[in-house]
Amino acid sequence: MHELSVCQSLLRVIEDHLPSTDCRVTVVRLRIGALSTIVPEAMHAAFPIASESTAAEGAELQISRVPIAVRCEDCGGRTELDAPPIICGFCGSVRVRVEAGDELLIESFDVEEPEV
Amino acid sequence: MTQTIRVVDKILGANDAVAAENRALFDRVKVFALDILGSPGSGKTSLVCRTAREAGLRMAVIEGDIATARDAEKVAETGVPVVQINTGGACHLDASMVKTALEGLDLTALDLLVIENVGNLVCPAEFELGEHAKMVVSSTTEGLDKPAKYPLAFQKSKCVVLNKIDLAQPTDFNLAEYRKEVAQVKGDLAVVEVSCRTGEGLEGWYEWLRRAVADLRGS
Repeated sequence: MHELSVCQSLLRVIEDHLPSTDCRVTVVRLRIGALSTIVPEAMHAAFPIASESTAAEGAELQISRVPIAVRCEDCGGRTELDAPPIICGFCGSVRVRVEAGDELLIESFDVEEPEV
Repeated sequence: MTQTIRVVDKILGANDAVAAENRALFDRVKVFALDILGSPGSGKTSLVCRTAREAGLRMAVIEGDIATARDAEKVAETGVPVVQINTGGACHLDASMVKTALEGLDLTALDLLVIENVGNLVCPAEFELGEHAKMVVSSTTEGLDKPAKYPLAFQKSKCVVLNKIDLAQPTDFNLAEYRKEVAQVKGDLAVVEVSCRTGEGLEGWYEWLRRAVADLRGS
């Protein structure tokens, strides 16, 4: 339910990286960890509202989901998971360190310059 | 012509930058900052009030709510300084709101700053405020499944206070099972069982807090 404010933060990052003031953003690529509370459907619903009258208005949002990855402190194994239980897939230990899965990243975006 | 701009940056980077400023301030004045997460009605404010009265720590409180100053009024009765933030609909506090609230507090001569987040186990987990630790206040009446349903809140926390332990029996709450559920989200997460109504177990919570404060002082 905080996807709108996440979209607003996202648009500020995009704005900071725009190559020119009159370009148009066509695609935005995000990486969202499976542990994150962000719901992709809600992002898709919020993005058009947040991006209205910005360079990213009408852009397509592409979201790739990053699985939870844990390293076991007992056996050293690395396990990828989609959801809890967050335990080692090899020995079942709960003594694991989360290495990935809580990220909320913008990876890249595409821009089109106006025809001259 | 289409051009791809590689960014690879945190979407909430601007929030994180303000959080880092808050954190630098807390570190400088050696005040342990604690961000309290929990469902509505889990007992966050009750725990804050009892802590203010009984833990023997010099503390101040920032209260985050969507609306009303009810929590701040309750906390003010204990005599500790309190600032209320009304988010006006937002489901979480962010670092800028906390930074603004800090202007109304004198952090010198404090041991502990408690930030009671909006009652919600979802969004507050995603936003850094500059705190030294997040924690969850949960309660027996909420059932066993909160860690599995809201893993990020528990994963980001350093402690769980399980409140309403006096109601464990009437609600058939299985404590061993709950500890197992917590461990399956974060293996080394401390669980402190308390009742803010009867006072049971609170000394263990104050112990945890005093140790956290002492560790910061020692660092």
